[in-house]
Amino acid sequence: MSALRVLYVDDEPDIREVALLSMQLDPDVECRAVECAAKAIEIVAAADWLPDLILLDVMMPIMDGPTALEKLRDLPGSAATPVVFMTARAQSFEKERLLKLGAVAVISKPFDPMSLAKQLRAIYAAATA
Amino acid sequence: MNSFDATMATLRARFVARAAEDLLRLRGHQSGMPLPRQDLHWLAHRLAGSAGLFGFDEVGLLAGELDDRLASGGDATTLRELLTALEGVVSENRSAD
Repeated sequence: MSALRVLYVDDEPDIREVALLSMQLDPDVECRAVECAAKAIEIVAAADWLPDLILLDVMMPIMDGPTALEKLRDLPGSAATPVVFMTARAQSFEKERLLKLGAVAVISKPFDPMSLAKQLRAIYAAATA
Repeated sequence: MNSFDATMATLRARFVARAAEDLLRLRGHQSGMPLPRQDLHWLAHRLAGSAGLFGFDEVGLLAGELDDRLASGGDATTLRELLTALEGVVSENRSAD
């Protein structure tokens, strides 16, 4: 079984580092973490490393998560890739709004570093079943 | 201590150092040097997303509440409570050094 490729976008360095660290605990997950949506778009457009799952922070400067999702949907390499939003504003109406945009799941911040990778693998399995 | 725990300890220390800076900015905001609304919103949002990762749940919850309330008009009470919680984080972790 090849590792689940996760492309993670978050502008906040501490959170990005904890998420990356937690995904590195799982040998079945391979993660690339970037600080802005433009870099994620570059990676997908280059097409030499295509993610199986994209994890997007919602509130980011310059390009927020929902806008990034729209742009990623226009690229052949991520047109159908499952997208998960991560947000500190996790009220149910906000989650519903994000799911309606086309995300397969919404993860609340703060997340559990010990189970993030497992949670992402479960989300991916459900989204591609 | 394994490498995960060691890195988390480093990140936690970095969070506390930044919390001290946030505290100064919020104290300034409360005493005549108001932060631009967008800066205050980003500060609350960042704390809401990160404080809980390092075990500072109360700061995270209050910052989340402030983040929500700023989106709908602001809230001086939550800001004061957040300031108090941040003071606790900074002073407890200073005395632990």
